[in-house]
Amino acid sequence: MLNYFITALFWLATFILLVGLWRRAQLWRNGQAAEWKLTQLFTIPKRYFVDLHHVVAREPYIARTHVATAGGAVAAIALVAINYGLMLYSTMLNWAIVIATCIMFIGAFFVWLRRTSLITNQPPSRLSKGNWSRLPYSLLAFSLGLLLLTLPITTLSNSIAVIAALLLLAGSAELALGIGMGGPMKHAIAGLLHLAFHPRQERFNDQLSTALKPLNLQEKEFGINKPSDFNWNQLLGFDACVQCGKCEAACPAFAAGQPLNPKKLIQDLVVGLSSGTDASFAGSPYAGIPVGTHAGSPNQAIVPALIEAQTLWACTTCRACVQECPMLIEHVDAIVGMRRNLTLTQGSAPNKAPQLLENLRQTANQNGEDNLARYYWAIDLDVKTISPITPVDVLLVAGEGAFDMRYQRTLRALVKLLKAAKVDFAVMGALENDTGDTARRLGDEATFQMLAKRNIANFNTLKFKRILTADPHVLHCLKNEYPAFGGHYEVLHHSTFLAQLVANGALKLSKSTETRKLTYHDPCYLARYNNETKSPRALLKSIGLRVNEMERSGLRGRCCGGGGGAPLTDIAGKQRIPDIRIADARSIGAEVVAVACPQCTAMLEGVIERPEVLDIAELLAASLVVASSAVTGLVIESTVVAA
Amino acid sequence: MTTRINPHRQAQVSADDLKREPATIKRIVLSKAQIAVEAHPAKWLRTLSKPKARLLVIAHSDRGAVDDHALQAIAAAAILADAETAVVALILGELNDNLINESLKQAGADEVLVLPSLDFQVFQPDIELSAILSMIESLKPSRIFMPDNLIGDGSLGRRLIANKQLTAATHVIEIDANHVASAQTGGSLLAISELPEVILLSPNTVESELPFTGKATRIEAPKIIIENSQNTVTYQDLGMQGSKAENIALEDADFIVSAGNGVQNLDTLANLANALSASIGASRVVTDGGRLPRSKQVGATGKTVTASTYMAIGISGAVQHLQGIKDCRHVIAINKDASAPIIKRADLSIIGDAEEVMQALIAEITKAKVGAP
Amino acid sequence: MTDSLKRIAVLVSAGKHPVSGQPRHCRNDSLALQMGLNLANDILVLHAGESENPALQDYLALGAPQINVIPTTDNIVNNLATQLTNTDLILSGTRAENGDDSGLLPYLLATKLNLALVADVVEIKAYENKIEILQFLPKGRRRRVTVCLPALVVVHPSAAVTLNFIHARQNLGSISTLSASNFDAKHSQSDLKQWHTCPARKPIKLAASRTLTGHERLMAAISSKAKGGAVVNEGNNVEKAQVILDYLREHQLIDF
Ligand SMILES: Cc1cc2nc3c(=O)[nH]c(=O)nc-3n(C[C@H](O)[C@H](O)[C@H](O)COP(=O)(O)OP(=O)(O)OC[C@H]3O[C@@H](n4cnc5c(N)ncnc54)[C@H](O)[C@@H]3O)c2cc1C
Ligand code: SF4
Ligand code: SF4
Repeated sequence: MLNYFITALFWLATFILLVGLWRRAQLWRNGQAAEWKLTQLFTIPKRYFVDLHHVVAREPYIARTHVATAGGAVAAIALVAINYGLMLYSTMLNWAIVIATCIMFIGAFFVWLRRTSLITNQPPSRLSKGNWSRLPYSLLAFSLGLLLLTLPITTLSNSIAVIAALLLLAGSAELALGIGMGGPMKHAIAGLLHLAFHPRQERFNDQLSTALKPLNLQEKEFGINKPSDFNWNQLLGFDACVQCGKCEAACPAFAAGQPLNPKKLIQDLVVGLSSGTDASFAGSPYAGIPVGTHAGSPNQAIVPALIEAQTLWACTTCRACVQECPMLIEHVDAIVGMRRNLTLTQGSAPNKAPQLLENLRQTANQNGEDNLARYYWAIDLDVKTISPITPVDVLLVAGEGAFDMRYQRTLRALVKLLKAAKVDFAVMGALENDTGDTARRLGDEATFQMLAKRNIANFNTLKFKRILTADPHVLHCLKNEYPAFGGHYEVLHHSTFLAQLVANGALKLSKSTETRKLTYHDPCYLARYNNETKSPRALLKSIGLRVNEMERSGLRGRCCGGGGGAPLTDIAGKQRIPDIRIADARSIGAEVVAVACPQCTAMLEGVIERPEVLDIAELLAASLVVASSAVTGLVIESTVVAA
Repeated sequence: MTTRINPHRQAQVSADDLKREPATIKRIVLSKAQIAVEAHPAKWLRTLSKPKARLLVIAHSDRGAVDDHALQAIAAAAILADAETAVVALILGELNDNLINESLKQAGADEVLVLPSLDFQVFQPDIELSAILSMIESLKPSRIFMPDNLIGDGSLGRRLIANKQLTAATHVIEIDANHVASAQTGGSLLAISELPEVILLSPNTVESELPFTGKATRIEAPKIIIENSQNTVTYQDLGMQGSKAENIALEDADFIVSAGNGVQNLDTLANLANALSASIGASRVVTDGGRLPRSKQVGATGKTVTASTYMAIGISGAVQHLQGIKDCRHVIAINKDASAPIIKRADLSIIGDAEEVMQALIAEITKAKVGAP
Repeated sequence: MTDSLKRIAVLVSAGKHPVSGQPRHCRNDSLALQMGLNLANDILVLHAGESENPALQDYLALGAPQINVIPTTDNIVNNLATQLTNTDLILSGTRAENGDDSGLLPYLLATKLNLALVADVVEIKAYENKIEILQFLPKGRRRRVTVCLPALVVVHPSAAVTLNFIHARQNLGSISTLSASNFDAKHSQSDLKQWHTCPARKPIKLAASRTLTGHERLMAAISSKAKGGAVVNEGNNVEKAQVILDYLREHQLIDF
């Protein structure tokens, strides 16, 4: 009797699951076509156990419970499929099922434990409540029910059998019905499929994949207006979200009390793809925007019905969320995709952003300056300017920071170091246009492409071996995003290049006289976007400076708030992102924050009470072993003559 | 920036000054009144017995006074007039006699005509045009000068030019006996021509401080019969609105008193703003702290302001803040730190405690206002 | 949006960035354009010049549905007038930023077409046969005026409209050149005086020539020309306050 019950239940559940899955797939299919092959399904095991686990393992507790719960469940269900689905009813297999369900039960128990106040005072606030609070109970019910029913004991009292059957029924409903209806367990299927059909396949080949994908503007591609404008595999990706809130915990905008929570954003997109309201969202809201006031459907414009524009404009594109997400969801692509539509079809970027975009269009720099002025800081340094007839080894591209008196100090220090190492280099001079990085993050793909094409055309007239920059945004743009427009260059950040010079002995440095406690702040566009965390540290070490690491550092460093045009869109929050970052530094007692980016320098120096902020190049230049008197002038504040 | 020591200090020694070592006296004296008084005796009166020609200057008064810009237009005419040419100032709107007449003299006007009914506050372009047309008819000036301003003269001048098809130069930023020049193409070119019939002058193109004075004889304006009907049919003036400083948008304000982190007491600042009829601005630290609304923030991520006077009180002058005031003509800083970046930008810097200087300034203003007529 | 206005025309000129020299829209004219668009969907946008000028692309992005180009910049008033005879409301910016930016064109045009004209407009409301405008005056003052149509409105740079540069609109709008044979390409008489241009330089202030005494020169040196950068770091607070007042008075920034 019981055996037949389980068999019937199994097939019923399988049927319901398949129907539910099919219906869910229809929702994904509302998205745009994207390349895929069925054979990609075979990649799942490796991607699951290597790539995904790599992220999950950062939190051992949840990694272990997940292995137990999911592993137990998968094993149990597979065994049920064989033993009951195929009606073998073998006692041996039942024992195996018992073991699997026991493992699952224990896993589910610890999942439950984490969500109660028993072991910690409070479950982490990043976790969602609602039906996610139900999940441990469903899982416990399923495992317990299955355990009891498959226990190879002949006598099971009727009442217990009924209870067990009910438990199993409830648990199966979560697994089978829940997936199709968008319950929490849909993450299992969507997550695995997302691994297979991930929009950035390169990620699984150990390649950096941080460049935004170009829009075909001629074909009137203007970004994401409605959920169905996403590619189908992006929609699938959103469905994979487990609402673990790791992105939320990493997000600087969320921490600053700005109206952005990447977790909610992904959930809102799930609401959009499956039609509904955000009323059932049971996690942290966007600051200042009550939950339950927004709704969406696949063919309805996302902004503002589903997501407010200010939510999108608060993002610094720091990729901390992407870095943390165990389901490998690409938040930044989604956010920039939606920004693109706002900028290209409504021209509605807030605050100072439109002015900046206009300046870029009209002057190819962000503040409407004369491009000749970009290298005024180098006038007295006797630096070559590249021209088509003067080939050089290294082309120095200064970027937007060159107009900023503060960052000119860094650039002057860098020049001093290059000269000391006898590097054959030249600056780009008036040929340099803004790279378009900020324009692109602000969604202005048209202006970005215009600038990229201009720069590439200029580069093509010049002869150089590689490009050097002290600006990680320039680095990212030129190195990772220009190739899509035919610009292939070797581009190096000054920290990387200087580390090479130190390593090969070209640059001789003495021990630093700096005695204050020092920490290093990783620029997002250097660390997460370009995977460079070692060179800056190696350089500091080479001059005898010890880096006291902040709690969040390296690939998991906290953003300064300067990326993605966020300082321009300037969405109000409770505090400023750089204040949080400086608090990080102060909490470890740092008196000097070493930086490697003009943006970070400006943001961190914008904090009133703070440690001193010094670029790596400045720290190094101060330890230069002066072999010749060829280099002068670092101490001169600035030579820029007011226009 | 360097500290300027007044080389003429001896002329106004006070007992206080004598006690100090000259080199340490960093007080500068910017009193124009002083200069004027001393220069006056040297001024000669320009007199004309029988003028053969006239230069006509047309300008509106603003609340009874003739502003600097209009005086510059008069001075331009006076400088360019030869010994046989009279400078006639036609003032549209009321004139508060005594003081103003003195300033017209100083600007070199020989004769002054006033049409009190043509106040700039009333929009009556057709009436104004026909009035000045008939004045021109009777005075037959060889050239007409007007300030190119926004209180009606710029517009009236253009109506005149269009109506009579006169040769003209507008937005004139350079003038001498042989040519006029105006900026073109957003300021990247200078366009030059010989003197036309009508000249609309930009502000500050002329040094209105003259070595001579005019007589500024008030002459009775001929009764002009104005065709009233046309104007009232076409235009109906519904009145002026709002000029309270605190209601003016920052971008539009002409005088801003701005608070930085160094201002402890915003009430004092508000009192000062009130005394100066100024609008209130702030640095980001102040708006971030919620002490003033975000709409008051001046700078790269706040408002870009164009006030002629910007008083930065307790503001360090970070680049992001300075970006917002790059178009301000007069920046006055009050800061306790002489090495703050704002000092480099400011035209006048007072080193001292914000609260104390503000209090003193409020007291001085109150005194000055009681003394003023 | 109102139906009371039959035809609205906006005059747009080709601008140039003052620093980079790159062609662009003229912000003032764009404000006029946006004001026009706020009043009606169907507006006539007129430009005299070259249809290839990249500046016109900006106007498309800023919302011009179609731009009609008069293919000559000679005799511009007469040529524009021929296109504007049946128009209720003409909007223009205060001042072009390319070529002759005297701000005279609207006045010449209004005179030619016998239209009412209001300048420095920051807001427009349209009614039957008339408009109500808000006019800019310095020091925060504003004036409300009604003007009978047909009229020409010159928009002030601080007009209360937001410009939205929308790339997608560049593809939607169109630029069409009107047939050259309709227009007069002779030089107009307003070019009477010969203007010539040179690169910008600091203008020279007109001052009366006089022989200065040594003392006067000294005074001049410390008063007006040597302004800027004065730092006062001694004296008591009253003296400091006095210095500020003196400064404000000297530059006529206060009137007491
Ligand atoms: C991306 C970005 C955008 C920004 N945008 C803006 C912006 O738009 N606008 C803006 O203002 N800032 C902006 N900032 C912030 C800017 O960098 C500065 O932090 C800010 O302007 C400093 O404000 P403050 O001068 O009032 O404060 P502080 O830097 O703290 O300076 C206070 C000043 O007051 C003086 N002081 C202190 N006590 C007294 C006293 N009793 N009497 C007299 N003087 C006293 C001090 O000497 C000091 O000079 C931005 C920063 C960033 C990174
Ligand atoms: S990229 Fe950074 S700022 Fe944007 S949502 Fe992710 S974590 Fe937040
Ligand atoms: S998006 Fe990723 S990190 Fe954020 S809640 Fe979902 S699964 Fe977790």
